[in-house]
Amino acid sequence: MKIESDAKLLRRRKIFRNIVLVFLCFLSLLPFYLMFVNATRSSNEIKAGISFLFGSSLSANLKNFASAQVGLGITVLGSMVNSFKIALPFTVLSVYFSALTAYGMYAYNFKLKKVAWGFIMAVMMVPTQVFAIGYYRFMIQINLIDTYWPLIIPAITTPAVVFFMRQYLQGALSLEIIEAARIDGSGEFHTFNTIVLPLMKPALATQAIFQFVFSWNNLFMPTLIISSSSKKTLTMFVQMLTAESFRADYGVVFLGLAITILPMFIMYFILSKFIVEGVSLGGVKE
Amino acid sequence: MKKFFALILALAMTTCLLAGCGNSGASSAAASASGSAAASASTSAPAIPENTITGDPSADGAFVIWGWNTDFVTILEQVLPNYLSADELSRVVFVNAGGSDYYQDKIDEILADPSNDLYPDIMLLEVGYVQKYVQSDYLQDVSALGITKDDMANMYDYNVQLGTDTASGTTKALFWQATPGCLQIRADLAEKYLGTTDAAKLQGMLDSWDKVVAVSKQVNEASGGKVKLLSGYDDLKYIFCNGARTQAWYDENDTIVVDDAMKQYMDVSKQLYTDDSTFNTNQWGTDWAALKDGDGESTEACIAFCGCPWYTYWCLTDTWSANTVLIQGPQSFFWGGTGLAATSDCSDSELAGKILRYTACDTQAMIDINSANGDFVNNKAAIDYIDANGSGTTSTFTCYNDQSIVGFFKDKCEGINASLAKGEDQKICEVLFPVAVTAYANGSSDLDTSLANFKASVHDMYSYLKVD
Amino acid sequence: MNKEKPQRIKSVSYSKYGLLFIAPFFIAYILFSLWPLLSTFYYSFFEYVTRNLKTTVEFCGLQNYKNILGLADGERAYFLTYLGNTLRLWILNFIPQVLLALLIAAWLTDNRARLRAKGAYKVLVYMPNIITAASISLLFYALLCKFGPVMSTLRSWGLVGSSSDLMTSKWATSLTISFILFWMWYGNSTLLLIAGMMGINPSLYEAADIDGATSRQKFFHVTLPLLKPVLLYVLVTSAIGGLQLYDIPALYNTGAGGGLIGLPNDTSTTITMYIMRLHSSDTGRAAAVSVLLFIITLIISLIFFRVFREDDGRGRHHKGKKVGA
Repeated sequence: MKIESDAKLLRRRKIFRNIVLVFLCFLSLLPFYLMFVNATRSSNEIKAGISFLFGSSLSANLKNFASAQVGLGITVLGSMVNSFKIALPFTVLSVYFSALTAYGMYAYNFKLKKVAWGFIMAVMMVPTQVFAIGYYRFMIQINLIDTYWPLIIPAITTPAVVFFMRQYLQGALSLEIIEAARIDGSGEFHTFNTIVLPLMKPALATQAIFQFVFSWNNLFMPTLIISSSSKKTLTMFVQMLTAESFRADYGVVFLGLAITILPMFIMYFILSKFIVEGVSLGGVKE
Repeated sequence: MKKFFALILALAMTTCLLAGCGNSGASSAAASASGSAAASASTSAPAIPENTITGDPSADGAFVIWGWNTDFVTILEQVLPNYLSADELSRVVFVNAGGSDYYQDKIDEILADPSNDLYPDIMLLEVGYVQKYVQSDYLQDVSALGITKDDMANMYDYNVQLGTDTASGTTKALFWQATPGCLQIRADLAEKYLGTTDAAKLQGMLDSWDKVVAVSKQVNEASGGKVKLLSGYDDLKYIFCNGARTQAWYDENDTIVVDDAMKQYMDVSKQLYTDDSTFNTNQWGTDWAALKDGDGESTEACIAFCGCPWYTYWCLTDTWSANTVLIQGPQSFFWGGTGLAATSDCSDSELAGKILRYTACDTQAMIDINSANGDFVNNKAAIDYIDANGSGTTSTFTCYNDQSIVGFFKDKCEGINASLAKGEDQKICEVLFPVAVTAYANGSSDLDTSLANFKASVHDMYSYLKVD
Repeated sequence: MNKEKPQRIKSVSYSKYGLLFIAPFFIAYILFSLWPLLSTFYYSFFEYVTRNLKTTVEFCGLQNYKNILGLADGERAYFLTYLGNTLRLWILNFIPQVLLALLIAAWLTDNRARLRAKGAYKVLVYMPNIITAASISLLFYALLCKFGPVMSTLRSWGLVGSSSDLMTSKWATSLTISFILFWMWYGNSTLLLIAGMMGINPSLYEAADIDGATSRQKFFHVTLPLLKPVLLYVLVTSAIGGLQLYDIPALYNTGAGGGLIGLPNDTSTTITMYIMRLHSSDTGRAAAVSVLLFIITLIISLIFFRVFREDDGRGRHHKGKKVGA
């Protein structure tokens, strides 16, 4: 009797939970769905209310969007190229130097190791915003303002990635492999590049995705550093969607947003399994 | 546990970082993009190209002109060749800062460095901040460039005031555009709700703020809220800031002053808000723009927008073409406008003088400017000529019943007082005061609190201005 | 390059490589983070006044701090006002975020009521976190503004009055911004808590089952106490992230003219918006705001590390063994 009602209870509970979960999934997608729908509707249709059916104004909106972006000094595709120009070297530098630092911390013993590690732990929580003023003025002083360098170079110092990489190395790399390489006469740097890095591939890949996304979505530093229209990044282009040339038409605003969101949207659904695993399964991997 | 947790920590940290801790980005550009809406809109040509330098700034005798769009390029290419020698023209280097967002920042930086190849010999300036430069030591008195009072005789007075340092009486910046304000009335809706499309009758109905408030209320009631006279009280800010004030934003002791006209603006706004007789939109907002094309039945629409020549030509939609009646409304004012000035370390005063003369003084050259780009030029004689012979504007916009746009605007500069202009006007009028107006209008704070908050915010932005 | 004989291989002899390998990180950090941080401190003691293009810089001691804290005559405590705004926006998002994340994480790790399609679910709830926050903020603005599709539909159904406008209400704006944050971040918290819950030794649940504990009891007496470090971690990162809250309020409902004033009536302006607003015109005050923000961040992380260390010390005692599992 008890078991039977338990099963019933369990079933009911499962149904309830599933409903809630489906609702939350729906909630995650809804704003994006409305965005894509509205990108195909005319301004007056949008003003009349919500619709879940695609409209027929996509080509008109595209045309209006194209003419609206003429006045901005940069096109949406141009801004994507710019973002890519920053995000790609940023990712490579970040992943490579973090792996290098983590390896240096893991494989060697040296005097200041504890201090150095403590330092990395300590600065992990320091947000960029608190030294942005100093950074901005420093870049003016050394004449790097309005170039991409200030957005790329800090990739060398991403403490959280170093931290992750070191944790990973502890699980994935035994020092015997390095010893063996030494016996074979491999130089230290050579060992790192040819033996350690390949071993770290899964960690590198996960972190590369996250670092790329971080750089791509970053709005704070580009805004501070970049002033030429032609150098603006995608996120800065999003800001310009608030300019009057776009605001004149709801359809164009939604279309513009859809275009700016699309690259991450596609990337996420291609790599989602990987990303979610990176976030949630990493903890049990060890 | 520690290891495991550390790994989670790292993972979470990086995902947090990656996703930007989303909230972290900064975007002054966002705000300045939306903010500069008004500024950039005041540049009539719709196309602003890449951030570019035309010519070689390091060449001997290079003469550098700074602007934030291609407005001036049209003049440079189509008008000035008739007045300058080929040699002079070939020396001109045009630096396009590519948008007004960062124009002041860029120019301010380079003005401090006269040895820089890109140091401007001439710079373009917008009305909202021209006084900042006029009051500085970075611009030259036009008389030093050979431009006399006689040369400026045809200019509209308010534009001369804008380019003049009132304390010393020296004129430093000259404007080639005049931007008298107006109300643009949508004829089909005016016929339906105001019962007339006659400009004089409409003006009679809307020539004071009491009448504007009353008519707004009446239209709202008659249309059941679908159609309102004005899109929002925010639209009125330039009328009050650039027309109705009798005192500057601060006095000679740098104490912040709120003119009675601005208090009247707050009262008018509150009344309009209380009556629910506008849509309470902000100028250049999406909602505001969406009202232009409403049909007044299934979608909301409004009857009147505040305007001026460049706005009429370039910013109204097809719905308004052959459907617009221009009237003055309760108050004359100005809105936007571009001028130019020579810098104090200008390398060639003679050439600078010529360029200023043939952009902002010479009647025939200004008629040519109008033929080239349709600007409503800052020259009474040229405007008389254009009024009689037709405008060269490339805009295809026309008014209701072919009301003459130039003919309407030609006397609307009279009575505008710009002697109160200060370098801080743009930020105060467009950014800070609207916050106080909205807070008071919608009842979130009373008059004294709103004004106190406003003064505190001015002091916060310009610490040298004091709260009494 | 490296011809040492095998017998000399001891990590000690390679110590210089360790230093060499970590050198780029530290050099870059000192140059591009630490130096700017120190100079920010330095700038905060100077008064910058720019008027008509003339900038004067004068040492002013703690005056900038006094000004932003409202301690000087005639000055408003803008720092405190904006700190209050920031905290309001953060708290309104964090409480529901962590509650929902806990609930969902408990459901998804519940071995008795196994739910299907967990993977797909995780993918969907995490998604908003990846998408550009700037675009999302603007998207919500476009959907919810006065004549946007959502309000128009509500109006036509008669659910809201003809003049109602979310953008003119302090609470509507705050709640919407908080909702966007919540919506973007609860998926992330859920995944973290799931990872934390999976790390809990199943034998503890088995023991609880034998004792006849209900799901609820297990959750409150086994899961929650053992989850404390993860929860604490979620709290601290969220709080530090929340203090930097920028692009969503800066793009959602702000005043015209680039003043970075969070509408209505300055009630959605955050601290970092204030820094941005001041950064080019008043370096000194912007720096002082940054320093105070830094100090608050520092205090939060110190508390976190302290509590974490204590907890970890205790944790190793009786649950250390299950870590490898």
